Amino acid sequence: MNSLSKSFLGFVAVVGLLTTATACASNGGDKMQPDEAKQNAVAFLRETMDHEPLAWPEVPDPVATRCSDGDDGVRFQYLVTIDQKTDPKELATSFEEFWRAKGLDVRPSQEDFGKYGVAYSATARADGKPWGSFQFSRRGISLYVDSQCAEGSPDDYED
Amino acid sequence: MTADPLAGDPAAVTKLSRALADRQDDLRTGATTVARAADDAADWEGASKDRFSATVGTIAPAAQRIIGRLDAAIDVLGTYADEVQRIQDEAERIRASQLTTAMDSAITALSLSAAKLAVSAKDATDADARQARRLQSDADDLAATASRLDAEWDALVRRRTTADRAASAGLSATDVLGVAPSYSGTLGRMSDADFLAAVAAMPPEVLAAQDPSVADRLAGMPAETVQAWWDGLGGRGTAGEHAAAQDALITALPAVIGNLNGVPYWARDQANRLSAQRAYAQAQDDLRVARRRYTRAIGGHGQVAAGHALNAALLRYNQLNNFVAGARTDLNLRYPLPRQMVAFRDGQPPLGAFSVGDLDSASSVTFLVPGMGSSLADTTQYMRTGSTVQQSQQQMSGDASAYVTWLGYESPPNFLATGDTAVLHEDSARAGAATLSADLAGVRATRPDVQLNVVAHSYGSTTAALALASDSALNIHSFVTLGSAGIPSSVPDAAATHAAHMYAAQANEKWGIAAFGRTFSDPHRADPTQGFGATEMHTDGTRTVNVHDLAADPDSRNVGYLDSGTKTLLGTAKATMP
Repeated sequence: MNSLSKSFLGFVAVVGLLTTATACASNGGDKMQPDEAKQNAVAFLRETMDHEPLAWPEVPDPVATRCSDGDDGVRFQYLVTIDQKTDPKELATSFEEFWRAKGLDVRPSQEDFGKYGVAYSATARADGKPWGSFQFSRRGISLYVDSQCAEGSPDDYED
Repeated sequence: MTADPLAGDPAAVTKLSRALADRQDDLRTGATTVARAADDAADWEGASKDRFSATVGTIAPAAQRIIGRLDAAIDVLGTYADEVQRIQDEAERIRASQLTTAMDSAITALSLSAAKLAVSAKDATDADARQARRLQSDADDLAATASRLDAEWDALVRRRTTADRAASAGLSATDVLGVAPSYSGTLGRMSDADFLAAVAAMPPEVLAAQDPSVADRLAGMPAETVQAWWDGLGGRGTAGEHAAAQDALITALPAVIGNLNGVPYWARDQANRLSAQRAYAQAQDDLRVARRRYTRAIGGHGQVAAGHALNAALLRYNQLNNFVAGARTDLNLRYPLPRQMVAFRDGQPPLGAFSVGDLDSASSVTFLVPGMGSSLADTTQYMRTGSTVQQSQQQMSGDASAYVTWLGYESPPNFLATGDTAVLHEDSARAGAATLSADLAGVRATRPDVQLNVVAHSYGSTTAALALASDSALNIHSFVTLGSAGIPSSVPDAAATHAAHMYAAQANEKWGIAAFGRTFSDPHRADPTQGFGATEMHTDGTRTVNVHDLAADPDSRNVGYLDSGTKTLLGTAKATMP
């Protein structure tokens, strides 16, 4: 048996174990109920919005989306946007520090869009909590909060 | 030909349907009377009896044929009346909300003006400033509500168009009108120009009744010929304003017009919605039948066979259900965008493409090509993924590329879920590349100057690379690969894709899914981030993107390539920026 074949068999074994473990976890019936997931996400969103006194809109209805590619479950994504001239770098630093202080793992990024300026973004993750992410530019603000994964499917929320 | 959601009287349609049902009763009564008369003639003898019996014998089947056609018409009218009623109810709700919003906006605007004056006065207080900020926030909310209501109204107009067209197509079908004359022989002998002129002159019911050779010949026409022909029927047209001949073609030949390069995308959208709705309705019926058969199946073999049939029916139903849901699924966009069903090819499996953005007018068009395990059942998920990129673009410039979720190929099964090794080979990619290349050429034919991009994930990049390499005239602006499963050796470098810019992102993925696909590919496929000539799009290793998926599981610390807040999302938004 050559080394490639050994790697292949090893990969299949690992993937098999992972797939089985994932399937067991997802069939365990311990997923959160949708209402609880939404409540946690809205609380986190409100807390984040309260961090900076901006002209925030009302909390919008969320978009139901899949937990991850190919998997069961549903998460609820809230997006609030503001069209307002801001200092995106300063805001990004402020929200990154706020989320870090709350124990989230924050990973910032930035990209220069040339004539449209620089976009500052970040993801914020923590086990067992809703997610946060943002994109700030000189033209405005986009703040996302994703709920934890809940029982059900995005198809349940298609009209 | 703009569809008005409030137009029409569903009660009158229902009344007409009932009148047809009454006519059916009359026909049944008449047929029964004639049958009794035949019995009365039992004692007759001779030639006159034979003539009478022969004549009477034709009446019952003829009556039955007419009753069957009336049945079909009653079904169509009943469905139409119900749908128009639902649309009108929704339209009244939207109009009432629009009125309330407009009044509130006017009142808020007045109050805001007064508050701004108060703030600028010498004796202004903090309370005045707070009041002005609150009113400004209210005004912004009302503007957002007005925008959302406008988008809902536009969606309702499209829904009414689809309902009108479905009713028109249903009433023009041969099961309502009977058999129309076939001109296939005559058409087959005509030149292309005469053929196209004759086809455009046919009423929808006659056109729909022609044999498949007519549709096949039309489908095989070059895009330039089709475009000139279509425009000659009354200009390019729009969803709201177009020629009657164009309308007839959409109604009679939706499967052809919906995928015919050279036809504008508003027309393809209307045709494909009609085809997809029909296929979905059929899938619903098939699923009901399969469920009934499964519950009634007797014996082990019978149950296994019925179980397989039920699984197949459920799979097809889920695919079509999710594809048609693309027209209404919620998306997180900063500013709403119209949607178009760009392609629909009914088969096993059904394939298609759905756009968020108007392909007839967008300044940029991007095809999102997914990888292994994808099907029409994933349409709304990929539309949401694409809309995350569009939202990012809208935030930067106010404009967004139209993102086409392209599920136009039979992707290889998910290796992790099935153990099927097709993803390691090129067969699926080669078959898909031909269709992708043709669909991209369709955009290029009707929009010679539009910026055209391709964003491909995993095995989608294998397919897309072959498609782009096959046609240098596609004039692709940006080709972006995310977690590529490898580029075939027939495409040796970025230059061979003919794209003006090629970008490649490869994260340090948990379980190395993309690397596995490349390592064990047969024939071997290259990593586009390694000496391929593509500009590397940074993922920051495990600091940001750390799994193969475009979207990661929220109950983990994982991050997918196009999750909000990532470097690859920003990079993809920038590369496909209008």
